[in-house]
Amino acid sequence: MTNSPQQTWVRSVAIAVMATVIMLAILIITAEEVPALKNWLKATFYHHWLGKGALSLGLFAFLSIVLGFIKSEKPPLSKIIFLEAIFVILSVLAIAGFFLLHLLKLV
Amino acid sequence: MTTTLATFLVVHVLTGVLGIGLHNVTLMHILKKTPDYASIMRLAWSAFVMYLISWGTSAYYYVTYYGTSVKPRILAGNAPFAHNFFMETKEHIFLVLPFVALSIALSVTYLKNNPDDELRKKTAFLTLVAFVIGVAVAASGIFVSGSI
Repeated sequence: MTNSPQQTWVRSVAIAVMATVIMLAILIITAEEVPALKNWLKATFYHHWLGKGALSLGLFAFLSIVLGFIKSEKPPLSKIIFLEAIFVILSVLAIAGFFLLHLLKLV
Repeated sequence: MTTTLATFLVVHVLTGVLGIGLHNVTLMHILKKTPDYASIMRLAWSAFVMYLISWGTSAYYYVTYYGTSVKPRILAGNAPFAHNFFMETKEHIFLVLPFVALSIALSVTYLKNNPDDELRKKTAFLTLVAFVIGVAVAASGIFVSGSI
């Protein structure tokens, strides 16, 4: 089987999504715990939410393009997409879990 | 609230709900034994576009209005957790959705020319995840709106 450009895009974007959602979870939680980071996001991007969006867009675009140059057939796309779904679930649970703990004043 | 802000808020909600609905229909079609990938492609790419529009319009409303005019009223009311948990969580997990929607659209585009049953099942799972996140975000939004 040849590695088609479409296959390469599906793979590179899926891996970029994995990295982006993990970066987002870390950035969001760290910004709540480290005021200096949240202040830097506000000062640099006007609003911390815009900063998180801009950084995630930047990382996602960079990784999608760079990984697009890597021609690989393994692991198969089905495994990559499954892993992507797991990464997304973990990231969302980490974000929601953090704000729940924050609400309960446990962090 | 200005007319522009009201328009952006309405567009944000409508396109967000449309994105969720489109992912629901995408999922139903992917789960068919003989999926019509040409239709699924249109649905998945439309969901991606809807989430992009919803993202952009929410950014304007959230950054210029919510923090100064809505958040203080929620925090001073009977349900401050509507902001402290539901809004904080919603605004952040929403950042994930357009990326996932793009990945789903690319995967079904690939499936159109390269049928692969394992990839079809895993793409259905990813679409289900996006759908559930979308519903959670929309439900949180309804709760936040009702808490003022």
